[in-house]
Amino acid sequence: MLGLLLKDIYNLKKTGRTLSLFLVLYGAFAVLSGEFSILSGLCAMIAVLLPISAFSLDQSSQWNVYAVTLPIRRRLLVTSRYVFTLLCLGVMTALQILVGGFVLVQSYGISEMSDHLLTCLFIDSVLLFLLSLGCAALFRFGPEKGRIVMMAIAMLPAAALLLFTKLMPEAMLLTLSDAAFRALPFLSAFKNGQPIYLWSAALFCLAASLLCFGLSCLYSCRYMEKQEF
Amino acid sequence: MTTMERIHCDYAIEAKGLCKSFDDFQLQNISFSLPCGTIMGLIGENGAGKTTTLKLLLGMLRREQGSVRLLNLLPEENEAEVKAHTGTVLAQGFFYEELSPKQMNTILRRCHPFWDEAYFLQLLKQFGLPLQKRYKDMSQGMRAKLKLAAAMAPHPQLLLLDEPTSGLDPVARSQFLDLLLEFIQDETCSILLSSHITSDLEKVADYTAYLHQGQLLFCEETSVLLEHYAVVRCGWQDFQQLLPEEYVSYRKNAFGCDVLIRDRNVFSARHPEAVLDPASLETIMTLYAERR
Repeated sequence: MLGLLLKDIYNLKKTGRTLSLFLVLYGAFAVLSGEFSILSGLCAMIAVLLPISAFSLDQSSQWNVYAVTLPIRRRLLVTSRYVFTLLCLGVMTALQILVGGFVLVQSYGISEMSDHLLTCLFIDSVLLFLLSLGCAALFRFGPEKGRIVMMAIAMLPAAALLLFTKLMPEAMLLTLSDAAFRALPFLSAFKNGQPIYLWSAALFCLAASLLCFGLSCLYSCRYMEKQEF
Repeated sequence: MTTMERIHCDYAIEAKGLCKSFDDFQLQNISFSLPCGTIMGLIGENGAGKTTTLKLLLGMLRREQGSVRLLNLLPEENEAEVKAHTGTVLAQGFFYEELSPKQMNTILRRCHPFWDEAYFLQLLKQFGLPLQKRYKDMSQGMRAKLKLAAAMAPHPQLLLLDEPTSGLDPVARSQFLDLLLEFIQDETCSILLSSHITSDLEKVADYTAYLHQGQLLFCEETSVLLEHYAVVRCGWQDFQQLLPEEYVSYRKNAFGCDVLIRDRNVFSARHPEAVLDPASLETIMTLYAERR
């Protein structure tokens, strides 16, 4: 496993160096201006971009063809890529928490940290869910098609929601939202921003995303076991 | 590096009735055995099924019929053990363009239980490969040598080599063949070597297997092939007096006919006047391919 992780790290060293430069620049901008949303976006983008690049490099060198001749279980080849993906997400989240936290503490005091952590948790859950689908698509279809499938998966629900809100008359939307609040009373707690509910929801989302990630890994392992080279 | 114990067996490879179908190609009923301590050359034209055979042996492709034993083990039940004792060089797929042999070593020593770092570095030195040079900056010959060094570093018992000498100059090829001969000095070691360069195989292969359009036409001792097969160069009218069972195949040319015969002694006894030339593997291969 360590060898396989090292391989990805060596391979992406050059890309990592360039991206680090951007991170330093936007990090400095965030600290100086007190605005870290661009840095957060960049961190999220890098967390997705690095694993995709690793898949592309695998394909261009036909690494998998060579790897299956080595005494490495195919399952391990897949698992190591998922671990690498988690590693990227972990490092980027840590950076987001640290820089964002620093900026917030400087500007508003320690009380804002809780909201910041909560936001990071939600962002991580969404990214993890996206990466679960993405990794499975990349293993199944390869980086070329897989990337398109991944983008489609990410864009379609957002596009559908946007279309829904645009096409629906405002009155009907309000009626629907009222009905939802009546049917599910705990939603009011979110609306009012009660921390216990928000934290529970964030942790639930993270747990669900982790479960998806695990299932995605299992699916990719099975696919890899059957794949011919 | 974990201590490696040699697997003792009579045959490094036992393939029986291997079949695999693709849309436009079929590998049919391939059976052969490679005794331990020997080299087998796999010859055949492009698309004859050499790489497919190697991939079936390695389990990279699923066979539709037949069975494989490598080092007396069933690969499907002992995949890790078989691969730990097998070194492979494939024509396609190897390492990342941006990485150097030094980085490869760091990675592979963590991926292979029997990886011998000192031996790998010694092979790199022997092949004149710089440690820091990136794979993408290497010539085709350097890449071929690096692939071989990576395959040999874990001291495998079986080497499966797919066109390993393509891209090597004659001097490097000669060094490479010497290395193969040195490798099988340990009688538990064996090599299956697929190559178009039949002159190389004449030098090192104990056995030669010939694949043609997905079928194994023969698998015989190379010395027997070279000793028994011969080419008769005769006129068209002389050829027409031969019985079909007396020759394997023939080729018409401007001066008459080249006829491939299987047993020079038998043929000489029947036709004492005939002039027999020795048949090289290349001649045998090309004339066999034209068999009608």
